[in-house]
Amino acid sequence: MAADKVKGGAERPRWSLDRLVETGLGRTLVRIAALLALIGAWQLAGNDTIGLLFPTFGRTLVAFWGLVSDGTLQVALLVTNQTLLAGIIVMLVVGIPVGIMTARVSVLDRIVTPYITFLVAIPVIALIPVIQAILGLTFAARVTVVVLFGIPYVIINTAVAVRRVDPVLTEMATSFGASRLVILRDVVLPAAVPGIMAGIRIALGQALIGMVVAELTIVGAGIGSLIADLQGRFRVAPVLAIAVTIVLEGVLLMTIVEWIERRLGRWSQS
Amino acid sequence: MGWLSSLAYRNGPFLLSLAALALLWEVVGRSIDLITLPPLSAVLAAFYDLWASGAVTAPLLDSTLALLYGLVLSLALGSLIGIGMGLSRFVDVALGPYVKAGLSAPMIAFVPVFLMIFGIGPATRIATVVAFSVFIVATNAATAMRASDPRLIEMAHSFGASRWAIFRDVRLPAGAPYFLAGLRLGVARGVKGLINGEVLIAIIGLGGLVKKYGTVFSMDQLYAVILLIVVYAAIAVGLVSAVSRLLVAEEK
Repeated sequence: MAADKVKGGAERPRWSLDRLVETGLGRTLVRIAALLALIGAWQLAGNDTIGLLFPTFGRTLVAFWGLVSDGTLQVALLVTNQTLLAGIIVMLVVGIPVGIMTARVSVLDRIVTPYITFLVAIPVIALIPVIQAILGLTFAARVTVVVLFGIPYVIINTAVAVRRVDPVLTEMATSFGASRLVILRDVVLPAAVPGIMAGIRIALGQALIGMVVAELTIVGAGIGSLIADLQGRFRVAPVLAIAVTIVLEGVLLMTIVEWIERRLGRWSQS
Repeated sequence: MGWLSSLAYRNGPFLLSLAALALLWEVVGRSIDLITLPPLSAVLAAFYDLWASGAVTAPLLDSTLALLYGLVLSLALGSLIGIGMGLSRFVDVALGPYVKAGLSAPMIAFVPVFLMIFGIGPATRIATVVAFSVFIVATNAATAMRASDPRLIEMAHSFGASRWAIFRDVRLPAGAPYFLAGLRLGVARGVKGLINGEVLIAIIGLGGLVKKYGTVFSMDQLYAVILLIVVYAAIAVGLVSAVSRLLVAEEK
């Protein structure tokens, strides 16, 4: 973009749209306009004549209100998010220590890392029938799915972050007589926090996918059964409303985690 | 023999653990008559049968076609959006938030909607592949456009190069690695999207096979299909990696 700034005045009018977004107010206006344009396009693209066609924004909103006003959506979301929460807790409690150990113990690294790489490469959804066969249609099965989706990223990023800690820091601590545990707690972990957080952010994105997949395949009392019920009655608008709600929840959670990540990054640097 | 011993040193622990797991699987599968855990040898035999009988050829072809259509659409659409975002601040401000949201949000939530609107055809899977891969392609295309050295663009400009010429001769070569990285990630995500979509739709393609064998508890065949999917995903991603390495090497 630097090239645009050095252009002569004669050419400036061609870039009037870009100059619009140079101020904060301009950016806000453009974003609002883009949102309105999106909703408008959705409204125009939709077709409400038959229930099975892509619903308009208005119909989706009405369907959303219908789900919210009698509490169905809230209850389903609550149930579904329990899976997510439990999965994330397991991911952190297991993933971070395993990541630290793989970074520190070389034999463990050579054993664990190929499996983790494998988990990243394959579509985890293919494993669901196995999980279902072993654990049944249970909460534990759904949590396992969420964990399998997210945990590789926690382990990999923790291991990389711990390995990248400046050796000068640990050497200094050693020469001052700090024990391995103290070094890990006071030197290595604080320095590795930004990397670990980045892993948690990626893992959260995957865990959200895992949550939806688990809901739709190992159907419980949450969003999955709600969608299955609505699908059976051929009602697209509420299903779309649920999908948009889940996506918005995902965006919200990711924004929160990104904010925490930035905060911790600043703390770790100071 | 040097490389062999270094290979054994690097991968030895992993291969040992793999062999131990395989042995454990075989022994447990044989000694306990669990329906959910057929012995490894049975799975491998089922894999061979599946392959030899040609039961997987049609679903494999079907899935690959859907994947290709989806990827081509993603590439076209994603590049268009990404190039727009990379070249113009205005487009970036207007569309950036949606691309960023689409990159991290669980787009899979839309699969039931796709299924209801498009029915059990290839369109549902193609839409799923696009939803999974288009945003990463767009993000990388935008980065690719910003990757070129501004001094080069200035110079081209002062020599009277047209905007198209600058785009073709300066921005595109400089951004090629990012484009290809986007393509590689797009394929990786697209394969996952494809399988996700197919398992959720549960009737067609490779994912359909998973569901088919899973529901009748034909476990050795089920594990064989899972094995096939894993190999399939690895080959698809590996192929794009190899091609992109070749292309980038040629650029230099």
